[in-house]
Order: sequence, then structure tokens, then C-alpha cells
Amino acid sequence: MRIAHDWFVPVRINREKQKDRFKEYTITWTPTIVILDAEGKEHFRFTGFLPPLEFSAAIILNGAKTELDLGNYDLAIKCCDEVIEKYRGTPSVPEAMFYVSVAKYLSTHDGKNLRAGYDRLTKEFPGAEWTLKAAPYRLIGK
Amino acid sequence: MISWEESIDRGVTKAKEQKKLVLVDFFNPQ
Repeated sequence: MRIAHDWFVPVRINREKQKDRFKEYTITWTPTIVILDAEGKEHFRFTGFLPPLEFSAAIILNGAKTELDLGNYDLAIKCCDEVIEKYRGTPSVPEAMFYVSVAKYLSTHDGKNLRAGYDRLTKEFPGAEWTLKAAPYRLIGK
Repeated sequence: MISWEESIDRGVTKAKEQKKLVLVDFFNPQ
């Protein structure tokens, strides 16, 4: 959980003590992790237990997606790359490959980044959900 | 050792000061 401390302010909400917060955020099952920006706006959430490595990858990926939302493309790219390189084998990797290509496209407006993301996903994760989601980018020229 | 806040409002205030995001763990102690 070192990552959480470096990049996030970590908050724990106990269901027994703060039922009102559970209602406010419509939390129906635990554990649920919610990522907020510095204005308190929710960006992403995920529910259920994960082993430590998979949990860290999911936290970094969802942090990266939040940075993407906030227009911090370079940081989003760096964090997606970290998931791809250091957390290989975890379920977050295909989604990180999808979003790194999106972040590169938004940063450069060069469609080749989306195509490269599709090519990489097709090669490494044929048939995966995020490969299917990237399929329209096959129409972009190399 | 991670120091967890127990208030979302306090977490958001700290995030604003420290230019961080907020990670909220909703959990059931049972």
C-alpha cells in the first residue's frame, strides 16, 4: 500500500460507524474502493477482494485513468506503463494498454497511437475485452 | 505505516493541499 500513500490520501470508511456515507456513495457491497479527485469528485470505483499485486495494479490503473480525466496525460501514460511493465500477468494489463494508447492519442492527436494500442492488444491479448474495445482503431492507418 | 483518514471531507482537504487524489476504502469490519 506504499503507492496509496505516495499518490493518494487514503481514507477508510467503516460501515458500522458511517452508514450515512455508504448511503451517500451508494455502496452496496464491500470492499469498494472509490477514487476521488482533489475536488471530491468521484472518477472510478471497483468492488471485491484482490491479492496484493493485483490490488496495487488496479489502484495504479484507476489512478492513471483519473489523471487522464484530469488532462494529466503524461502522468497517465507513465502510470499505465508501470502497470504494463511491473504488473505483467495481472488482469489490469490489457486495460492499461488500452488507456495508454488513449492517453498518447489525447496528448498528440495522432491516431497512430490508437492503432499501435490495438496492434499490441491483438498480439498480446487476442480476444480479450479491451482488445475488442480497441477493434475500431484497426481502421486507422499505420 | 499507512495513516488512514476516517473522514472523506478531511481526505479531500488534504488532497487539495498536497495535490493528490483520494482513495476511499469502504469496508465492513464484520
